[in-house]
Amino acid sequence: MNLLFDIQYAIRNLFKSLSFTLLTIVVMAIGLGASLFITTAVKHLAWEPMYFPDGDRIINIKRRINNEWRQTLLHDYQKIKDEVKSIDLISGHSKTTTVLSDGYQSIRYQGTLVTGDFFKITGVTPLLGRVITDADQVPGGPPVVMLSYQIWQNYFNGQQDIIGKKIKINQQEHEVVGVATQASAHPIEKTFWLPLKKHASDLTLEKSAGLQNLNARLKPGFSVNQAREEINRIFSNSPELLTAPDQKLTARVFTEKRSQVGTLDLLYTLFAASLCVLSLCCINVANLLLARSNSRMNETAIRLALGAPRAKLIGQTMWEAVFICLLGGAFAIFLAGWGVESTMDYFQSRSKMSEFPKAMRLSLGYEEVFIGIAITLVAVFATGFVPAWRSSKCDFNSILKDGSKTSLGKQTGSVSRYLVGTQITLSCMLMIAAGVLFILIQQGIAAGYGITIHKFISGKLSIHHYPYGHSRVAYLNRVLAEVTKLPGVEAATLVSRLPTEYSPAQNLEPEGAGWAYNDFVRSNLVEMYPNAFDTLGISVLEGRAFDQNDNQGSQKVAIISQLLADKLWPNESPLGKRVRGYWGVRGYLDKGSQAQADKWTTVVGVVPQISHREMFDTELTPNMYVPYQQSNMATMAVVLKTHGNPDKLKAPLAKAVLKIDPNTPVFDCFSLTQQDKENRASHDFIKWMFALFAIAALVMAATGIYGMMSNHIRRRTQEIGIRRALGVPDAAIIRLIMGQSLKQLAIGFGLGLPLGYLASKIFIDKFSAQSLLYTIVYFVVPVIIASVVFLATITPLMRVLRQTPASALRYE
Amino acid sequence: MKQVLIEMQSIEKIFYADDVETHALSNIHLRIQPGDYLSITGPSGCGKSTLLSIIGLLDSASGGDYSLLGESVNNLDQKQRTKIRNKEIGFIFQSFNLISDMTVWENILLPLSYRRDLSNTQKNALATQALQDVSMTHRKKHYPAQLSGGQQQRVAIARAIAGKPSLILADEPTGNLDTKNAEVVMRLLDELHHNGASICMVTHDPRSAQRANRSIHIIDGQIVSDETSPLGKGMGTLSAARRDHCEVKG
Repeated sequence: MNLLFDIQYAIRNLFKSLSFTLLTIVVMAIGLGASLFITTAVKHLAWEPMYFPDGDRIINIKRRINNEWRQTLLHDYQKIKDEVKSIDLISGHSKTTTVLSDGYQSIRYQGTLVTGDFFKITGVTPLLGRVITDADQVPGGPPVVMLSYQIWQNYFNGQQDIIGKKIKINQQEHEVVGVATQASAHPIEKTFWLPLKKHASDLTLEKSAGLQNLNARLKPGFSVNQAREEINRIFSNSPELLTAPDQKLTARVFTEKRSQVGTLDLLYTLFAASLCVLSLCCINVANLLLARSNSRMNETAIRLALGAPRAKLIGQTMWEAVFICLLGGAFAIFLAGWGVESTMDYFQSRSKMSEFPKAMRLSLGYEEVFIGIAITLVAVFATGFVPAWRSSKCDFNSILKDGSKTSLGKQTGSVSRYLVGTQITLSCMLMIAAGVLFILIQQGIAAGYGITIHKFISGKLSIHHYPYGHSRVAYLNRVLAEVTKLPGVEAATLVSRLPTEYSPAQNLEPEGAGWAYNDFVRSNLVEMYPNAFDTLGISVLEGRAFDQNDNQGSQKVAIISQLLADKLWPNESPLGKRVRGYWGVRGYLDKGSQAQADKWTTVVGVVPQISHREMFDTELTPNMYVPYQQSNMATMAVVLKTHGNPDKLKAPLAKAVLKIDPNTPVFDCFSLTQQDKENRASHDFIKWMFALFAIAALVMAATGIYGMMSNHIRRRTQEIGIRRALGVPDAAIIRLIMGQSLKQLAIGFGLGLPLGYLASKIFIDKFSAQSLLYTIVYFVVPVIIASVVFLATITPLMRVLRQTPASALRYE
Repeated sequence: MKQVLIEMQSIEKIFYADDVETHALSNIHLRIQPGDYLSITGPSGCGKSTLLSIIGLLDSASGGDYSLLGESVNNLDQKQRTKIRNKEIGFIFQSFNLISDMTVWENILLPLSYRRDLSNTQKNALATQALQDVSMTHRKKHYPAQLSGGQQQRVAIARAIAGKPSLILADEPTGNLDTKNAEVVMRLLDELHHNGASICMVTHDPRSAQRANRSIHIIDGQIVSDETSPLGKGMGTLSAARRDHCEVKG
């Protein structure tokens, strides 16, 4: 009965001051919603194991040479499979370009080459037929394929009799042996699984196959660290895995989830920021409840005088916090759900990929709702207990004797001041971090790639099926001639990598320098048609551009970026000097034998440094450009410079390419602007999330300080009246009250500024700063907070000062 | 001829609450000479405290003319009114209105601290003298909450007289005190008057009112009587007040 009465009483009080109730519920919803949203992201991306069966035991292994990442090889796979005792399953897989054609149409899909225990590890299970087995891996054996549910449904209309049928992939007949269930697809939902059909024992190390992903399952009871140590021990005793005798071969071993998601430091920083916002919300609501309990101290005193037990009083006072937080929590769950959906839409709309990786997908399910409820319960305690406890400790005798001037007022005032000091500290820290991050990211975006991207569209062509040499060149020449004629095209060219993409890199050795391998300069390698610089608007600073005479029969030539010139030949002209690249196995760069080194290449020109998707990186990789006719890369991008909207050229480009060869469709066809959007999607997201958190922090701090000062000044109305009656000038009263705010500010800044600097240092170390503009944040943020504190103090104070001293004296 | 201390002509005060107009004071004519000991009496809600607030420049009249020490205060801004309150007027309130976070000494020093015409030495001397006058020197480091009601009111009187104002305004100074403490406070006021202070006191208590040498009675916001008695009945002395108080409470 008493409990029911307490609840009714709390509800009645909440309804009595509806604006207060709504304000606190909104504040809680924002704080809880933000933290639940980020917690959901962290849970999915960092805490949860991969969605495989035994996902927490699946590890990812990568090869490292001299502490630099290299592609894992089939030989590594075999060695680990044969010797490592801490694992019971191992598989490798790589993505591959596959073109499905039926004589009428060709569609490019991302295929997956698999080996070993791929299906056991990933849990891809057949809906129809079977999975690919070891028997399918025999080199020269009949080509087989397993279809994903999506391709079976979309391309083959879900034919029940698909098993055993022959389909044409990359111009070769493959027998369909199985269709996977919809839920089990990995790594993406629209894919084929094809056997790798290679064995390390049949290949030399130089000819070994690269595996983009090497996964293994830990035996029960073994940890990732144990596996890492064992693999490293085996690698260090395996000179046969080295491409040069002085290499140090190690393994990078992480859980598969960690490997999929990549670096999590920004996500954890965002998580910390969301916890700051939640803390600010709790402090804010606690402060408001404290002010409320203070205004009801007479009631509390009467209850105590009538013999109410302290525990009962705390419980009764906490009911309001319970309702505020529960309602705020309910809204927060909807808010977080909306946030998750919007985030997925945001990333998918910016993604070039036909589908978003499963490992990166977020959703708000039952578990997240339970987390939301748990956070809400913590918030109930955090917001309700302190005000309830403080009010239950009041000196009821003093209050009953002298209602307005009580010890409780002083106690709650000091608690309130601590809370506000904390609010200023947290908001200062968060705003500085957000401001610095915002400026650094904006600077990166403004610096761009070194070319104007908005007129361009590009599409990839995979010409593996054209023999190396003249036929590739002839095909690409025809493509170039055809697309140049398209209406709306100002110019067209072909390059292997655009500035909006990462580029493969090589280690370069300048002729005659006698450098040790570790001194070699790492450089991007871009193959291009002669008109590429002109089309992309890159000017030649020194020397010449490529021309048609730079072909297979002529001297090997290269054009290098200014940055590379400075690194290879500082203070010298690079023209006429020679350089050669070292190519490791599968195109990756190790120091190797002479057979692995390129021929000497003569530098004929210098261009400005262009970024290859490195706009936020602290250090740029220099570039080396070579003519296509001297390299013949199997995947090239056709690039159109357009007169108008480049997206309108998407369909004509695809059509023009298919016209030349129906079996070579263009893929990854996007405007450079779209590619740029994808490149900075996560940075933009984090930037805006931090900006939102900073604004929320400022609003919280402003309302918190306003609430405290308003309450503080209201309690001191009579005192202010006395002072004014005694002839104390208003300016002196303003100084007095402002002095107290300044104390809060000083405490808040004393802690907040150093913390803000440390938080912003994370971003300064991570992103390249184009200038020291970000330092302005350290001055602007304190000014903004000080202004807010000034306004939050002066507004309620002026309200009291506008009263006549007589009214202030009568204030109860 | 002595300068008139207070001169009020046709003073009105109207309060507005929602759409209701309340005439708190109507057509008040009042003249107070230096050295007057004036009591203002009347039933609750008749406008006594409102009149005192207007006299003390705590509030403004809605109409009429008001001159203090020969100068019209009608058009003074807040800053000028504050200055006059600080220098020329001392307040004693029914509920003492001491600042709870300040010691006795700090409370007394408070109005003096804003006087630019006094040096720090003078301020300290005045505050010390005021404390001695009310026999509260031994309590100078105490906070109001550590004092009895009578002691708090004595401190309030010390604060009111410390700056040697031209006029002391007392609003029900004994309203919150028991009989003995009330007598002590009234004797203090008598003594102040005896030493030349001008006092204007609002009171409900007829016995307190009789101590003044002039008494006005207000009903429904209007002065209905204004009687002068040449000596008043306040015959006590400060020393007597001190002695009596010591008997009441230490």
